[in-house]
Amino acid sequence: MISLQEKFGNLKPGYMQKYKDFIDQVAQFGGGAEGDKYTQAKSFSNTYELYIYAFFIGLYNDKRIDITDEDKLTSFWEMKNWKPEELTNSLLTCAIAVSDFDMNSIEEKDNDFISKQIRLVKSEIEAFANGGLELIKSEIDQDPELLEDDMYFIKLLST
Amino acid sequence: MIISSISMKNFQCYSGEHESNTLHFSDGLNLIIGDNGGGKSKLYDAFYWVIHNQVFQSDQRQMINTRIYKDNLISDKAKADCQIGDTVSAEVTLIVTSTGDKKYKLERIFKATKLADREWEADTDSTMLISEFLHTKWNLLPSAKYSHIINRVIPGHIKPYMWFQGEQVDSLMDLADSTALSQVVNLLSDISDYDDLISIATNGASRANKELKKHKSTISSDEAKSKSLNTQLESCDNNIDKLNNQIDVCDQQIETAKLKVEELISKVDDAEAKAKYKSKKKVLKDEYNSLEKQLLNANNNSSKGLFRKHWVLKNISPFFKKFDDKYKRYTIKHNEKVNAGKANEIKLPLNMPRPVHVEQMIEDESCYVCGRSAPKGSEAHEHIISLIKREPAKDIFENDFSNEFESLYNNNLRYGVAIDGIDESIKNNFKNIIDIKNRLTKTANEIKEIDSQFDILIEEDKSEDILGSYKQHTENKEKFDRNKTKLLRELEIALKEKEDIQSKIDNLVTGEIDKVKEAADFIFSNLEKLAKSTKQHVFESIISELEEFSNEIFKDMTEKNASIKGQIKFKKLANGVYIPEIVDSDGYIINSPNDSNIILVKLALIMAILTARAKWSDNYSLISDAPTSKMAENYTFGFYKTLSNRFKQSIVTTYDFLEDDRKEALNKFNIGKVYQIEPSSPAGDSDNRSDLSVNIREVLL
Repeated sequence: MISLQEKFGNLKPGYMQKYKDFIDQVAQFGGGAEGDKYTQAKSFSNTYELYIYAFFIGLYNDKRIDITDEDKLTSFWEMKNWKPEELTNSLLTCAIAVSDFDMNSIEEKDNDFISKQIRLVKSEIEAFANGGLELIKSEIDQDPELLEDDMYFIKLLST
Repeated sequence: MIISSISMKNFQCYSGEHESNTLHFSDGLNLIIGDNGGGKSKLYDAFYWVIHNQVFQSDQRQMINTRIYKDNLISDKAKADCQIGDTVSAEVTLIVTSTGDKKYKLERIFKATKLADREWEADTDSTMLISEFLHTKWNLLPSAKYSHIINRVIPGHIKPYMWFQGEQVDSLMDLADSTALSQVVNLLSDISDYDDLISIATNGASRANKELKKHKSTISSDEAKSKSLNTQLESCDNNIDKLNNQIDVCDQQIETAKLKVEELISKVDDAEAKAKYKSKKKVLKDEYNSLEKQLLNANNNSSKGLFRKHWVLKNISPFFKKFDDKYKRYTIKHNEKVNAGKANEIKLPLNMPRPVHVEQMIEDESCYVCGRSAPKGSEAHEHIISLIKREPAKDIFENDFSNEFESLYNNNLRYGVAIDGIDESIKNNFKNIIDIKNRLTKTANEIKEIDSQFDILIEEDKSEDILGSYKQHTENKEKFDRNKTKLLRELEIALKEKEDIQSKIDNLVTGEIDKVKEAADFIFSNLEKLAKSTKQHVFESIISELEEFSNEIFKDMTEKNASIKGQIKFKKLANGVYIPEIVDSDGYIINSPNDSNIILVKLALIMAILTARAKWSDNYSLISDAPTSKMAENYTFGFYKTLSNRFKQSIVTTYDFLEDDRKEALNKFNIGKVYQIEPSSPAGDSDNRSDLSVNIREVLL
């Protein structure tokens, strides 16, 4: 019995190497104690938090970067470990909604087809998340002081 | 070891044989009471001489060796009684008892022969003899054992704190010296052992790191480039070390300037205005700190809100709608397949409405969806029954994901409600943060205002020196602060540069890195950090223990005094150094405590050092000459009481309790032996030193 939840849960979306320094700058690598992120002046306590955030920023601003095979992506934790789970599910529904993922066909086709369809969703997630990262990073590159504002990441949602 | 007795023969003013100049001691507070010029300091000299071969020369205020002091050691009376050709000696004998009940006799002897009137041929130096009491007699020990025995009577490193004269107390503990406390901790604990561990770990870390670098160079795709990068890395490390040292110096300068400013504040004339300034500033400072905490919490909650309050879904509605549409199309198609070929097509998915609701509709004979009645036997009633009797579709789909899609749909439905409130929630959060920030600014301005009022107070102060110095030190502090900020920025750049070079080196590495070398580097670098932090932790726990003990002792000693005494606070400076301060109950420095109070604080510190950790007080005798000489009278009772309670044995010479009616108070202490000494001149001429001896009388309480 194939489980979509399992298949989506095992996905490890990635980010482009050029964002690594930026991610290190604002997210606490590999998690750690929640309290630490403030003492270290990090806005996100996990890489996946930043990644989810970047996905939605990319999505809302229709900023996508289509990843090609030449783009070597750095992957991190499987999606089944991302928290909160409901938010990860919302991200999935958005990616399904905007992708060519065919909900009916996958009920009739074989495993290979399903895997290809799942990859379509993964591509959407990566396209918008990297797009979001590009958008945030270029803004901060232009004005590094933005990070001094504790509210910056919340304000960005409204622009 | 505990001192059982001391006896002197012709030692300075103690003329005559040992038998007439013997004092026995027991546990507790042993007192030798005498008036000024009565021989108290010479008795202290006797203790000191037998151990250290030195006596205190009062006109030069320093300790003088026997080789220099020579026949001055010998009693003038004994010398006057000598004929030409006679030899006379000054001797002191100390009998000590170890915890294992072993007895040792320490004797120091100095001889001189009379050649003519006022002409003496003296030994070059004194002679020391140490014997052990074994099998009912004294047996002389080999001189090789002497230093060991002496060290058991009074170890060199605690001597200044255990054997001292009243007038030395002030210099024993310099409260203004920022290194004094660290020195004492280093001296009196085994903390320096950690330096060995740190040194081993640091050397190991440096070697392991070098090995790893070398190894990475050998497996580099471009060995020459790696080598050059390693050189750059080394210079970067040196720069980082240099910057860290400069920051340390800067911290020290900032602290010094801060202390000076605080000290000057205390000298302002208008004490009342000063006190008002202090208390108002304290309230505002507390409020400021509390607001800062609130802001941190609010920011903390904001950051969490992105995910926990789902603010990140702020603009998601169109995308949820897109998914809903897709899901709707999917459901239609999916159900068409499920119902294909069936007479009554039911478009609702399986178990929808929920069976529990369908059963209720059957019982009530009514449809909850359209509200029409469905009496038993009617077509409508049959239709409702058919909803519950449905079987899952079999073999229609290769995979039926309807439940999983439905679950995603339900997930969005649940969020849908919460999303409507996101804008309001974010708005409220912003409002709260802006409010806290405004209050912070307001409080900061109020503090600034108070500071400027205080500046006016300083400017109006009569002393121009104070104004000038205050401005100078305030400016200095600001200058050092700016310098530190600049250095920290440079350090940040240097650390980033180091990281970049390191990553370039790592990128050149081809093949596999030797795991052992990598692990050695990791382990040693962590061990180095661990050793350093452990030493720091131990140091801080000793400091806190000392502070607690000092205050306990200080409290005991001052219980009879009603004036404001303050308490001892070990203030930690930014550079990690601690300094002792006397503060009031609000934590403000008492800048002009009276001398007597300062002496008491110093004595409390000394006693804390001796009693806190190593319990020197249990194993060695405290010997002091007139320790209360600079102390107010109502402090002395507390001092003696504390001394008698906390030290196994103390031997103190003093002019306190000289009058008989004051001796009654001694019964309140854990008292040992009490002697009264007074000079004696049988011929009646008290100025004639050739006729001087000392009468020693035991006082029975």
